[in-house]
Amino acid sequence: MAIIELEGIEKVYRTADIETVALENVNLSIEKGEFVSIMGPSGCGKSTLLNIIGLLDKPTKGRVIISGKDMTGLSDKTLSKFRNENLGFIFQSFHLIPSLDVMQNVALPLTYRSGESGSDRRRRVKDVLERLGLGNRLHHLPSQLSGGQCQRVAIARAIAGNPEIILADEPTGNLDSHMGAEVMDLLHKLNREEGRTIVMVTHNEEQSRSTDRIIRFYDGRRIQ
Amino acid sequence: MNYIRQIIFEMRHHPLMTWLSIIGTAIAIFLIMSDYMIANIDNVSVSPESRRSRIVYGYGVDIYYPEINGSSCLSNQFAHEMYDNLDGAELISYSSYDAFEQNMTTKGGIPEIRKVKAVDENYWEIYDYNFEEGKPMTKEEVESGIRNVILTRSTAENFFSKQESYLGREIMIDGKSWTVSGIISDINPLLDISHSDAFISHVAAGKLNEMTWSPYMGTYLPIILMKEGVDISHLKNQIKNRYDAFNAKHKSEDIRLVYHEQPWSIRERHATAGTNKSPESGGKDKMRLIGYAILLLVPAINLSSMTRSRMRQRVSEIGLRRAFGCTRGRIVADLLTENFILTLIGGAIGLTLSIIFITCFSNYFISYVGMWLNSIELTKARPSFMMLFSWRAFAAIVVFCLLLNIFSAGIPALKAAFTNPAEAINGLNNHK
Amino acid sequence: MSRALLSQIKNDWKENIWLVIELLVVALIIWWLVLNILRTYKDSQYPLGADIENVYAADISYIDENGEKWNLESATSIEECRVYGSGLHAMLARIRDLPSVESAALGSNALPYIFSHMGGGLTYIDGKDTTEVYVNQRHMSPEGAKVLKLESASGLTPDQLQKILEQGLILFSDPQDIDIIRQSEKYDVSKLIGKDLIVNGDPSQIVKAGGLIKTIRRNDYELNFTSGTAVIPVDEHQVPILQMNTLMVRVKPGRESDFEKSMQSEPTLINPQRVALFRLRPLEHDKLLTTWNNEVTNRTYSAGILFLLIIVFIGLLGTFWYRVYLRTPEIAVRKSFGATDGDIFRRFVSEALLLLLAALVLAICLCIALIDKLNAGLLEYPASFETWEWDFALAGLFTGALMALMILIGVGIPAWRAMKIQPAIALKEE
Repeated sequence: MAIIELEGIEKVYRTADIETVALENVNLSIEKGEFVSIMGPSGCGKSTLLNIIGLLDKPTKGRVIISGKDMTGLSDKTLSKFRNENLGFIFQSFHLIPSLDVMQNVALPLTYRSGESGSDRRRRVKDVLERLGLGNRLHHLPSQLSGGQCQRVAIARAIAGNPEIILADEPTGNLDSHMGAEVMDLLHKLNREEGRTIVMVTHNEEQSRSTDRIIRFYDGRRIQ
Repeated sequence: MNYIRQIIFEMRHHPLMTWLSIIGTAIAIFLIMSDYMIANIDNVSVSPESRRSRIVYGYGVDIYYPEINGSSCLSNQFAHEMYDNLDGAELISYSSYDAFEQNMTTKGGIPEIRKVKAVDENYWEIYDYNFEEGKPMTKEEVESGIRNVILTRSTAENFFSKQESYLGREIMIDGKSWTVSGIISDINPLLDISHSDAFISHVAAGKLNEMTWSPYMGTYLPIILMKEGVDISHLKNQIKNRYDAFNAKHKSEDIRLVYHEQPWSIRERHATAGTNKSPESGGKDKMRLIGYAILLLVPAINLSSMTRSRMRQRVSEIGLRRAFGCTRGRIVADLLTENFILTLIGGAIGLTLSIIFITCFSNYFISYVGMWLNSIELTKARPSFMMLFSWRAFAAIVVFCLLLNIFSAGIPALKAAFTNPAEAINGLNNHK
Repeated sequence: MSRALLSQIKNDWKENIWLVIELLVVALIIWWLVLNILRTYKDSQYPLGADIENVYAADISYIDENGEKWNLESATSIEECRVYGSGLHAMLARIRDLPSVESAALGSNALPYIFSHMGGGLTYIDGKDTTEVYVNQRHMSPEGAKVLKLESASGLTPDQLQKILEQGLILFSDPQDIDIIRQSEKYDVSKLIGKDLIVNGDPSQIVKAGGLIKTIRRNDYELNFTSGTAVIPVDEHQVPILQMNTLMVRVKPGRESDFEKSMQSEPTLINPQRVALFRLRPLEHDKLLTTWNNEVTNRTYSAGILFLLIIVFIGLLGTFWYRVYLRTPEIAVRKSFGATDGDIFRRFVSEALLLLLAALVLAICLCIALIDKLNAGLLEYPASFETWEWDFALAGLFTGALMALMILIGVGIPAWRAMKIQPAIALKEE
């Protein structure tokens, strides 16, 4: 069963005098438990696509269906709740909140949820961090961590809310090859052992070959 | 907790912006609160004017005879005629309009100028003076014209060597000997109506100074304590009717009184005293509110540009929070709360500054229109701590901070919350 | 000033429009405040008509044998008056003998800083022509001319003025002295010198004018007071001297404390002959009292200006600090292509000054549009437009200068920081 389905997605950016087509008639279906990588040259629209899948951006035309639910025209509140429960994001430049420590950063998705006590939350965050080998960094600020550690915190944050889908936008782009490999291992582990669906945008051919499927984009169109 | 952590983080990482925001707020609040507290001195109820909201004041006469006119306080008889038996009045005192300056000395000592107020027995019930020794004058005492005097503690200490009791001692007022019958605590000169150095019976005072000099004119001022829950307009209507009746009665003699919307509240009295004009209803307060709005607007513009820059630096964080499921409403609420705490810190600093400022320097900024102080009192008169603190002042500061917060952070917060999270995360906005 | 600068201002228009609004509001308020201060300052520059430095005053009161108040109206016999009169002379003689005293006199409504006004007309009838000069009547014994150092309008010394008063002639001033309301035709009052004048329209009261002085004002700030002054001499050896209720003393410079001490140690302050002095005070005290509210207003306005300037300073400092932060890469690139430190500094400062200019132009337009309303209501300015206009422009210039100064400091700090950016480091960080 497809967990993510895109039907006839089109995204056009308009400014006063220019109209830029970022995506043109994109159809895509991703199965539950799949690890998919999206590739293509810069500006081909892959990040836009990821944002649309992540419900951070709305398509100009077309439908986004996630877990069988049509996301078109839902309110900000509903979308926020859905993102919170079903989606986890990992970014190229980590985007940790500099004013929060590791624990608080990872707990971020949980703070927008109700029905869970503070101590439960802390235990869960601690579990996740320990699993990712960050048990001794709980109260460090992002500025006190290395790049690899930061990305591991970001991954911890992405899975802390236990989402089914993880969206990763060039997760290894800012890391050296050694750390990059470490992060990839971790993603594979999450995919294999926990059955999470992962959609990853990447430039790295080698990394993409290790995933279940490669979707190639060129100039806003899917070519493969 | 997290809000405070965030603020501490900002102070550490963007110290200039954060401190400028705080100082900007502090100065605005300082300005507004200083002015507000000075203006509010009229509204504060402290001993001996604890019942200020219920005490109202009659006005003298503004009288037109054929071809001449005059204005002054009332003669005793005319004051009674116009103000006795008012419905809604609990007590009425007929006392001197303001304190006379008199030479005061002990026998053989150097005379000094002191203020003496001529009062009746009700005066002591309307105002709650703190008697350290002795007791207020009784009706019999007042009407007998006996030369008893009630002194403030500092006046007594100035003229007599320190003793266990000052009661029964003799003091010269304008060359005559008076017996001390009571000692009261000192009164802040800003309470200009209840303030005096000595109090004597108005009957006894009449022998020293003329208290009545024509059928209508004299030195009496009716002081009315309204019953609980009575509105001042109820009394105003009655007095107006009495004035109309007087004018109708004296029409043939061509004598006419001008009604000036008396009785007055302390505010109205201070706003008009020394003139024969009617109080402008709320005109000054309106101007003041406009002034406050401007005083809030200018720093709000400032702060909002600073808040905007602080928020721009955090735009990717806001996008991120949105990505992880935070709603727009929550973003706005969080940003406003965070900013409100910052505003409150500024407000608290501003309030502290204005209290320090007022207690140290307010005498240079209080105008004494309608206050009868001599030059020494003028340079010394400062509000006591108790006169600055009121629930109104506290409510006012929170309201001002809230307004400032909404003015300055409302738009940037909304803008931040409505930024497309995808763009926000990538910091596209950073370079716009 | 380059086109690039203007387009940069345009690009930041959202931020700039708020800054211009802020500067506009502040400029208008400061302008108004400065105008008011300037106006009061100008009023206070008119001569007071008397010199109160080193002058003391005391109230005189007469007490009868029962210790009750006595006054001339209640006198029953010449003998009674003589008792009080000799007491008064004795007191005056003792005070004049004090080594610290320069001169002393008695008066009634004589001093500046008294707010009573004994207004009345001095009428001159020349055949059919009647001329009336409206004056505040000030009574004093002749030595008062020296105590108050009355200012002659024709260059006479206080001693000469005293001589005139001793001859029983009055001194008077031109009510148009204080030329706040411009009168189209000025009447030359000096023509009245040497003529008989009727006081208060009462033909039985005739005085002769002996000289012209400057108006003794009631307060340094009093505006639009249309009365002149008449100094009417009172002979110290005649009964009406008992109507005088004020003693005025000029003390030798630097001898104030001697004088105060000797007055305190005089056992005769309450005189055996029942003349009592009280409320002895330097006239500066009266000045303080009567000018207090004007000074409170001035102080409040000045404080307002100061704080508004601080607020503007903070706002510009913050805004431009952030601009420098945003434009760091741009500055670095500019510098790497040869911009000097001065170029960078001037760029930021002229950006801010241009915004101020925009605000001031808007402020001027607003003022011109609203000038009638301002003239009538807000300023309560009684003067004609021509005097108003100059004050207005002067206050505007001053406001502009003050704000420009604040902006120079507020923007100068971040601009200085921008100037010090090291292109290599800044670009690498980017």
